[in-house]
Amino acid sequence: MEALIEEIKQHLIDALNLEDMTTADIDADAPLFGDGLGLDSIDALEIILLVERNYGIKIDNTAATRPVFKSVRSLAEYVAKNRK
Amino acid sequence: MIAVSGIGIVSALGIGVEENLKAFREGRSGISPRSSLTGTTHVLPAGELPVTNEGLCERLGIGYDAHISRTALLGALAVKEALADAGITDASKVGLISSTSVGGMDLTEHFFPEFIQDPQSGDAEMSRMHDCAASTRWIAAQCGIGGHLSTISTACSSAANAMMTGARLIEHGLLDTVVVGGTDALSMFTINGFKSLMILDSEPSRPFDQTRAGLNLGEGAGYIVLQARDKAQEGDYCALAGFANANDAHHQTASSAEGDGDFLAMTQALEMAGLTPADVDYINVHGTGTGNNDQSEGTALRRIWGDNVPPFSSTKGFTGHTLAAAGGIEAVLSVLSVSRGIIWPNLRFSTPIEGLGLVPETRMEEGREIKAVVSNSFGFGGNCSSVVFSRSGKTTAKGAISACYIENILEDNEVVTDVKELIPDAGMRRRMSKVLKNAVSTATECVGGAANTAEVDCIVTATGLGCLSDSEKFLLNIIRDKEELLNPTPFIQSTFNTVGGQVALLSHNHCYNMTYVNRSDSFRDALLDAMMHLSDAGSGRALAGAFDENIPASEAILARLGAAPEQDGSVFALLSAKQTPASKARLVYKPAGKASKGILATDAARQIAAACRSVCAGNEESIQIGDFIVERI
Repeated sequence: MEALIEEIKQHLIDALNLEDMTTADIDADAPLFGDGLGLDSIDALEIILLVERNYGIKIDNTAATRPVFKSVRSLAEYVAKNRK
Repeated sequence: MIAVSGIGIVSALGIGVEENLKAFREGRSGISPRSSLTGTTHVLPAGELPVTNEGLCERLGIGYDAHISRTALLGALAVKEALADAGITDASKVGLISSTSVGGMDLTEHFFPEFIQDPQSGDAEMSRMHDCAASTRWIAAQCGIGGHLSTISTACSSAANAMMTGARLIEHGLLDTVVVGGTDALSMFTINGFKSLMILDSEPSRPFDQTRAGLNLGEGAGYIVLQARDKAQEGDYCALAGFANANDAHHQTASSAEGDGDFLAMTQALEMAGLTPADVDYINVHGTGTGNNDQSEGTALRRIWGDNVPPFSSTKGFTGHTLAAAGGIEAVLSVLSVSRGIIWPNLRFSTPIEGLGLVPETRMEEGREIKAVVSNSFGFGGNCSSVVFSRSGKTTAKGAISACYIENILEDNEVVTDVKELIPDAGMRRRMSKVLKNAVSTATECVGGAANTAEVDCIVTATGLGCLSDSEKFLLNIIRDKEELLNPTPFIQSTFNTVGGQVALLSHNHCYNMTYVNRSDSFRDALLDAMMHLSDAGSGRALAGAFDENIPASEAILARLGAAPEQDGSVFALLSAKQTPASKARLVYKPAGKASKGILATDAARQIAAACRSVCAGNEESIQIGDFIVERI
């Protein structure tokens, strides 16, 4: 799981162009949106895309899938459970 | 007063006012199960006019030419109808202020796959109409229009903004008659763009319904003829009585929860018309059918009208969302509302939005007593515009445009402050391409920091080709990933009004925000607009700037088309209505009537900057650059 978390952090940095950030700067348990990383609705779409591109998992952009985007850890857990 | 004397419309419902009226009367939607003409593989409902480009050429009475963009063909049909409807046979002195968001992308996207294989292959002529102004110029030539031409691109509010510019040119005596509106063809670029944002409904859209799940894209064109009048004449439809453009300054693509921009646009337009909210008999809402728009717009309606919201509807369930054309198509419908007492129906509504409880009109009615109508058009970049049509208008002549003062004019190579200081919002910065950073930094340093930008009364940007690296990135995404796995960021950044929108967003400035896309005349149009604003207000400051970027693909294509290379980059000017101790030079508008040749906007702005430096240094008393004189003070 820790390796996957690191990998997802790097994907986030690349896909969202998080300038001057390294994987060490991202707290796996901090909220992705709002106060944590400060991401917004467009970033959510980019994250859905990077999960599909890298892990072949389609996530619907609905209220039901919102907990998946809570943190890097929740995202990694979802990927680990659903990846092919 | 400014009278509306002619109307022209093309939509998925048909070509011309009568075909459109017939469809509305029959309750027949123009939304088909999918686009079959763009070449997209997506099966998504679309408001596509079921007539090929060959068919459109036939309707125009011209031979088919594969190099004419559909945007131009649709536009020409509507402009021709509007001119004929107004009884204008000689349009040599008539102006055309057109607008489009896709321009000739419908052709470029089919040429590009071959071009990226080999930059010398493919038919480069397919990109000759790529820029937005190309369609305007072609339409003008087709219709014998010989007056002032300009093109606007502020995403989905474009056509409403074209009306404002046209009206102001009449008010200042620069035109007696002007055709204003917008045109947009469906394209793979926009279909995939809105798909990447996940706001396309897989079913026909349900505007203002609790269960709405997004918009359907559409295509078409809508234009109205505006004429200066001492009093209403027989045959006039109504008056363009008020208009306003405000910026939501909330997010690049999402509307604020309280509908701040919507609220400001509607209230200011009513104020200009001298009307109170209670005077409004019908509202043609923007009503795209997305969760965000309808919630936000509905909230703004409640803020203005409380429990007494007048009859309203979104007509996008019939036409689809036609982007830049929407404000034109809906202006035509709104004009008909006033002249024939029509309430337009809102399709597929059953349940009001929770918490708002707004119920749109679902039945078409004719012959009602309708004196005043508001038409809303809101777009990405926070651009919110409202237009008011009413039976009578006020005298609006404002005379010649006053001179203004150049407080500062800054070229990108003169920016010294770090970009992180000028654009402190890391979230905004990380999404920006080079040209976006360059332009927003130049704008911000020109006014002396974002805190000062907040105090500016008018923001006008100018560009020939827009944010090309983002456009190219998204186009390559569509081609290489075969319309799958689409990144939304380059799509949203590719709109022509992104710079203006980001400047407003950075400084939370809700003021008038406009973008001209008129080749090397773009900066002329931006300065002219800013000067009209300052002249009308008699005070205040305006920020006007130009930006463009060369990318290898655009350089290769332009070279193949025989165009001379041009310098890109950004230049911004801060103008003041009144002379201040900081004033560097006086700026006077004096049309020279010379046509300019370039495609990019930046060079004309650099020339004004150089002239300003020269008079400041005392080298010369005054210098004429294009339509402006820069004078020493």
